[in-house]
Amino acid sequence: MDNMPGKSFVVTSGKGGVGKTTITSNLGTALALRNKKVCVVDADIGLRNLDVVMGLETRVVFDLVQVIDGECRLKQALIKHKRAEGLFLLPASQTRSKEAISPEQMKVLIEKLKEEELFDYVLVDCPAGIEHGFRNAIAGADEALIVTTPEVSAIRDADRIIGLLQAAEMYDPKLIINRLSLEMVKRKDMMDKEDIIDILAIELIGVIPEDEQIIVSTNVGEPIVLTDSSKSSAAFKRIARRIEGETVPIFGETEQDGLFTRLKKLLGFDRKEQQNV
Amino acid sequence: MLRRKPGAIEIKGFGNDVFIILNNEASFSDIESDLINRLEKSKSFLAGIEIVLDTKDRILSLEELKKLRTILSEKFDIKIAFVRASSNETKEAVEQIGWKIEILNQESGKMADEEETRTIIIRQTIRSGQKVSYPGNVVIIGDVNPGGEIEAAGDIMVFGKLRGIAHAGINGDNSSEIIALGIAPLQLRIAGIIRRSPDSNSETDYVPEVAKIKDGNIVIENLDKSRRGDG
Repeated sequence: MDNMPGKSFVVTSGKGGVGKTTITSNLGTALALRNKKVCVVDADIGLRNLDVVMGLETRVVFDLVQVIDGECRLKQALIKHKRAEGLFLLPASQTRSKEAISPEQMKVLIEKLKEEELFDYVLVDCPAGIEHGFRNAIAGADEALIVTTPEVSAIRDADRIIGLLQAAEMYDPKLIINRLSLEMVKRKDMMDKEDIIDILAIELIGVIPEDEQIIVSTNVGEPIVLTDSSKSSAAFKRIARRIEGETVPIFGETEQDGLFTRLKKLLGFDRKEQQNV
Repeated sequence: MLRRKPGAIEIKGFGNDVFIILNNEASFSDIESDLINRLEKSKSFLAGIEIVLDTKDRILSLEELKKLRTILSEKFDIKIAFVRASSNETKEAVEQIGWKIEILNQESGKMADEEETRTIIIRQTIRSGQKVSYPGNVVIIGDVNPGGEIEAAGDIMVFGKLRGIAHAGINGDNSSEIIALGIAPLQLRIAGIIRRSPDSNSETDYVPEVAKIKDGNIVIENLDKSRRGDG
């Protein structure tokens, strides 16, 4: 295990506001909780957010652009998380623009994180849009995680991103559906995960349920997987397990079923269905 | 939707041919740098193949052509099938450098006929922002997603769900048809006629259907019925 090369992921969506930063921070934390060395990289240069969401804002001294420009060493810019062992943040610059770095430089940086700093996982938080910042963010990534919400516009942009990733020879992105409300799906007021997969036709790696607690956690700068055992926290942990190659159902039992179904399962009336999950 | 900034060059595929098109407005130095940039990105699938260089109305000197040759042949191992040029100066320079000039247009009628019977088969989902444009028939094995576009001089067939925009008969052929295993597109166009999808977003049952022009309108019919009617 120790000799396995690290893996880099870009968390991307095209559309803004679908939860890339929240997912990057929570997924990074969830992987760190599994005793992995994880670096989350904020590639949104000029609109720095990841440090705030992770509660590390006050500790930022050096940033990614300064590392690339040689103004500081990579190690100096890495910020250790206070509560999650093995979790580090490489913050973005707030004052520079996305054009300050090139995809080639970004590629070298991510390689360094994996090979010299020996990170098991590098998660790159991609800016919204499909321009220079997007090309920077995907440059060093081995794999892509596409984030969408169950909205037509977010799905349309995710589809565009999948096409652009194909053009950049990244063929097998995984899908995370964020903010799915099972109640609304049941009322047929929201697209279900099947409808979304039908359009995007890529592999689903996780569904994060709509959860008010997330807003609270991002505001206080504490990743929800650290503080809480809520639905969304469990969903992030399951994605982390899937990234590590475990076979885990998309939904946990408590989210999937109503009380009656759970009772049936408990009493053993429902074994067949359980196996099919 | 964000519009892509027009680059100094464009790389496009038409059937088996890859075109590198030089933008009339761009400076030669922009063309050089854009060419290197773009080829760098797609060198894995362009290396060793033959391309068509479309110089549009640009006047290229022998010097400039030699520079392009250095980039294309020496740096990226790309061969030139022929050069498309409208300016006589460029044509002369192309002949001096030893590349072939495209012979066309004089007998364009014949050329067009041949092209319209040609068919391209594409085995992938056409996603938002992707566009297929072909001077013949287009067969897609996969879906056409919202925001994706297909343009064909002839017919369009989609072995999947058509949810984007399809334009058959772009050169004005009224008899062109659009066939898909499910039609719920944003827009259908056949020759000069446009039909957009109804605003009410009713649940669509995906069944094989054909869109064609009848009495000056685009109608969509169940594929089975339509064929029975013909027989």
